[in-house]
Amino acid sequence: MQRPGNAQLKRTKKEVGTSEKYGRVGIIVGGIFLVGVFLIVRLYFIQVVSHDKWVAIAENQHNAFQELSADRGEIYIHDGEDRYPLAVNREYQMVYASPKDVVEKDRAALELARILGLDAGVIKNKLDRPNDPFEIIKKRLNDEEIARINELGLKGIAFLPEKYRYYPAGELASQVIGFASLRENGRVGGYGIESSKDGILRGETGTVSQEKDAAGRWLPLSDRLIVSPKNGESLLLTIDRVIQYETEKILKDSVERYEADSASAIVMDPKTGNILSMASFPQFDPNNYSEEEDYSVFLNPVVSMTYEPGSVMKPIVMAMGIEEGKVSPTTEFVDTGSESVAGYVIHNSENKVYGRSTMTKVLDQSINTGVIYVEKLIGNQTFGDYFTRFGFGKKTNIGLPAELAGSIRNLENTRSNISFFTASFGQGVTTTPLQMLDAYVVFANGGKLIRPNIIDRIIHSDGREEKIQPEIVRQVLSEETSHTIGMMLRSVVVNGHGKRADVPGYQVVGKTGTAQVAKSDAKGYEDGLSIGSFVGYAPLDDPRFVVLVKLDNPKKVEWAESSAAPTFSQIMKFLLEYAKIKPTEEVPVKK
Amino acid sequence: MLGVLLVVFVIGGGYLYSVNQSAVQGYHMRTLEKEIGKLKQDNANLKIAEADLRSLYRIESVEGDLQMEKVDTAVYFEERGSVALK
Repeated sequence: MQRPGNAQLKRTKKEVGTSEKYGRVGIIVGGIFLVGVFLIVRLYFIQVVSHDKWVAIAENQHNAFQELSADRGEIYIHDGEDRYPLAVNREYQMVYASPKDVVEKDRAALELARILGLDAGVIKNKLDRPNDPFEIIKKRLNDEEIARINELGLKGIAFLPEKYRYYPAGELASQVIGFASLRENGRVGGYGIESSKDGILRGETGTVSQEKDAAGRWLPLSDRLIVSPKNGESLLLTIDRVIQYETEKILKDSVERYEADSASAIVMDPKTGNILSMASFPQFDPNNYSEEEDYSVFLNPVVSMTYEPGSVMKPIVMAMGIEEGKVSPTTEFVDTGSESVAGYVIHNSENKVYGRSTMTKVLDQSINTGVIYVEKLIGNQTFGDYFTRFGFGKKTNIGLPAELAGSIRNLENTRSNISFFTASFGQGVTTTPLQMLDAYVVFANGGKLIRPNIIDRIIHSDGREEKIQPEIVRQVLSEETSHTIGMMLRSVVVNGHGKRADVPGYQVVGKTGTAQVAKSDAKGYEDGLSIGSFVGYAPLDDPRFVVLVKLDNPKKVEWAESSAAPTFSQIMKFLLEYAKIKPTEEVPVKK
Repeated sequence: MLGVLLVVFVIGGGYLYSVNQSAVQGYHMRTLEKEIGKLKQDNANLKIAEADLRSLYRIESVEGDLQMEKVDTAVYFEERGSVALK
């Protein structure tokens, strides 16, 4: 085997070295290429795919950002020609400590505890945190507390303004207004108008952002981006302050006098559908809502509770019969005291037998068999259709939260005569008090059903005011029928069970209803429980006010004519005098 | 040369004066803005105080002190047309 010479050996080594060199260079170049590709891909993902995310992170590091809160819209009610604030934003002062700046910590803790009624140990504990720049001592201070703390001149103790929702009228219309509570994303409406109109009351928060330095301080010369907050819209309700106050007062007196569990009353202007008063008892103070143990008091029973209305339904059935041409006020029928249907026997109240009676007398004496007679003449299908046309079984859309529709499901099966017979005197169907009132507005408003309205105007944050117009839902009865039924209801007050609802000097009309309370967990009715109600309006020739009064389970009296009717009379008397409506009838002179 | 220096001095002085005036005006504006804010807040507080005072609960609680009397019956007078006498 031939060995290579030196020269050949040198060349071979050189060739090998060159080859290795190129190999290493190739690896380095390849490596650089791969790193380059990796960087390009990475940059692509950072700058293109995840662009928004990184921009946000960078802005967070370099920009100071602060949210600017919007003022919540306020809520007003009518007060004569003026407006009265029911819900406003009130500025309170909060006292806080900057512990590192506080000198004489023991003395400061003792003095603050004495003025604020707090535990001195708790305050001292807060002041003993030198690294903590901000310690809240107490919120919502009153003027006296602020003045006394200022007198002390304590170093490191200061005040900070905070806005809270404040209800100047306290309990007035509390179930209507509800309250706004503090949540994570600001103040949010909890119940009532505060809840149902939260979207327009809340407004939109604004922002201010600016570049900051490494220490987190704002850079004065950098651009500042300000998005102004948009304050919420304010609302003017249709409620009149004096009418609301007086209705609540009369209602409260009645609850105490008749030992009722609870009560409601509504006053409406029949021409516009505007609610002038919506009162319920018991009430709550929205300034201290957290102190209430029973949350059901927050619900507005006028729209969120249904009941079987009882005999106040009878004029509605009579109006159907008159509109259909089946009966007139003088139409006679013979009452035998009971009506048998599907194995059941329906009696008149107190098992009375009235014999030959006119339709006027049917309403005067609230005869069950009389309205069953009318229902039979109308027919189940038409009867059910009228119920819908009067607005039963459907929400009124007044704009209050948790409104219920009531139930007329028992009228879906037109072969079930008993359901229609019982519905004719207000049993087996449920309504809210507001639906019942609105059905009577049809009589007071020339046969037209009107949508109840509680918001008079929306006051925009720029000062513009938007008036909410009345909305006629449909013509349910002819004007002639509504007039006829009005005359019959006047007879109820003059000759029938509604005598105690009358107001001397005025033509007041209406109907009583003493309803049984359905068991919530079984068929049948609760023993010894009843709901007394009266619905009516005045003056007959030009109705100005439609009023419903409902007393739940009054214990001192058996019938609504002795509880709801006199309560109605008190409210109506006040209304007619408050509106300066001149009497049209002779007032009997007391001897 | 002296003229140029004088012009520079006058322009510089004018500039300094205008900058100073802007700063003074800016400070004045901020003071007024703060005052407007404070007056708005005072106005809001007064409105609330007025609402508290107008509260019917409060008025009823002091009706005795205010010597107010409840009216039980409203009396309406007959309005008669005026008669022209010759």
